[in-house]
Amino acid sequence: MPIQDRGNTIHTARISQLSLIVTIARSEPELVLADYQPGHVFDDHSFEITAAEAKAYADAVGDSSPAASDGKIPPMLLIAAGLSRVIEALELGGGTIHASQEVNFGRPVSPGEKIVARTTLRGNSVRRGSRFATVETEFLAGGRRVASSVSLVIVPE
Amino acid sequence: MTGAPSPGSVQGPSNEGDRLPEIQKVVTQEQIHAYADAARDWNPIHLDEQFAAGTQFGTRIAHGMLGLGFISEMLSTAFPDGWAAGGTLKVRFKSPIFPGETVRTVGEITKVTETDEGRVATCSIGCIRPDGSEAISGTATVPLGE
Repeated sequence: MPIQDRGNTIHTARISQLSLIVTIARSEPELVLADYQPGHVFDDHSFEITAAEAKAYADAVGDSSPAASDGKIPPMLLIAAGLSRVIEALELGGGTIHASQEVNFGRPVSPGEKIVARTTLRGNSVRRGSRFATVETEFLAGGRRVASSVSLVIVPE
Repeated sequence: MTGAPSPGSVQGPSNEGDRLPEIQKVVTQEQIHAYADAARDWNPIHLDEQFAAGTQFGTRIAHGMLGLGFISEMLSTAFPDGWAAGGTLKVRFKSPIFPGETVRTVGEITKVTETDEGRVATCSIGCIRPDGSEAISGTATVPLGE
């Protein structure tokens, strides 16, 4: 079940056989991941997570802990939702793997609460034939930060 | 779920050396598909055996974030008030979890720090594969609210 997407800054992308082509917000020229410099801030993306989506996630993980019960949003779902949007926006290739993860939770979020994800590219380099991209995402609700994450992903070149 | 907080920690782990409740999971391919839909992560390395056969792993692997979900469950069980409200975590995904494997989480309070906002527990955390290797390893901090 897809998480509801109410972003008005949709990133569209295509992958060619030779390179990763990314079109940002339709108005920007086509860019490859390699073109983005550390410090680049992607367009804000707003979304919300419903109680049904939270339950689907908790069921998939098998999480019956207090943070995932009684209609609450399991905290790691928020982080996973943000990361999947980054992967989707950049259309990272199928061989992409997740190397490390940092998380900082400010407070739980509620079903239906509007969340704004603001992602900044913190690192982008090639080593041993793979691209290492570090992305930092702040999750905001009502203008205040409710969580943040830093993800390192490795993308085959 | 198996295991329990250390004896003596009636209200959950709160002191140096206290262990966090161990979580055991059998990771199935069906579960990986369900997770992919729930988290909107349809990377074929998790779902498409033909594609995955051509990767460095030679077969499908579970999402790293699924294993991290197990660790989050452990932390939420151990710290129902503090984990989602002030918790932090930093981990490395050291080796993949393959479908069919039974994994378990591990966690222990390694330090308790007094801060202006109260006590904060620093924990070693991990997710262990059947051969004893670490799939995920790192640290977490959680406010104890005291």
